[in-house]
Amino acid sequence: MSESEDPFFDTDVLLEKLGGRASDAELDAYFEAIDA
Amino acid sequence: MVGDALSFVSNATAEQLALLPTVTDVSLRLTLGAILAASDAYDAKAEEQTHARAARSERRATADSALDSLVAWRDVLFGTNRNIAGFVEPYATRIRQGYEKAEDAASVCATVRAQIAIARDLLKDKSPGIVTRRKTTRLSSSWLDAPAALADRVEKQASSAATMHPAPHLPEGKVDVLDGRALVLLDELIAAFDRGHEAMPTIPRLSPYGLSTVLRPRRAKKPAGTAPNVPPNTPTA
Repeated sequence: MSESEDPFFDTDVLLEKLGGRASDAELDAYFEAIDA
Repeated sequence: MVGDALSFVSNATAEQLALLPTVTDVSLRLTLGAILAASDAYDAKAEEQTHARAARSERRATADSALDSLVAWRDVLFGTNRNIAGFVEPYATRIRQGYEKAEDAASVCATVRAQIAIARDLLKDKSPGIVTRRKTTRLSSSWLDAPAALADRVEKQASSAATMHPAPHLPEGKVDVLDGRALVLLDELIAAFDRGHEAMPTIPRLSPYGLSTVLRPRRAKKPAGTAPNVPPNTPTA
């Protein structure tokens, strides 16, 4: 399967499989937890 | 790369998954989110800079056009004053001294204002010679208002062009911070697969073949005719 045919290379498909895009707040919380 | 990881874990055996304890849908979602945030910030910054350049260019063009008009006015005023009083002192000296050839905005504005001041004095002058010569021209107070207003405008534009630096929408360093976050999460993902591979060779390593390809997410294609926004050396998935 070529890269262009692989659904795992499509960002929209990845977002759908992963349940949507992580919000800025989620990312902030994650990195604040690391820095703490 | 997130696609490679998700593709693998979606079909991995229980034994393989046990050796990839930090590679979960949650961590992959965060990684992809961080990559997209970095990419979006980069695109926004690039667009912001493009707009700022266009605005500066437009301001410059407008200012140049007004300055060209004022240069023409400078010579018209100079010629008119000379026509009326070019051989009458103290006007003759004032007219010559109040003329600068330089064509930068400040010099042209200064010359125009000096020539306007002389012209207004000529309007007030009651001496017969000046009155007679003045009547052969269209010199009037209202005629002088146009170059005076134009000089004000050119001066304001020159000042604005020199000092106007629109505040960037994104603070300096914001793109770097978001890039850093994305790289931290990608580094963790690569390290997790490396550890898994060491423990079980059927788990692949994730091999980025260039950050620009790793961090640049594949987006939906833009409509035909839209220029692709693919700046060089950008972290992008």
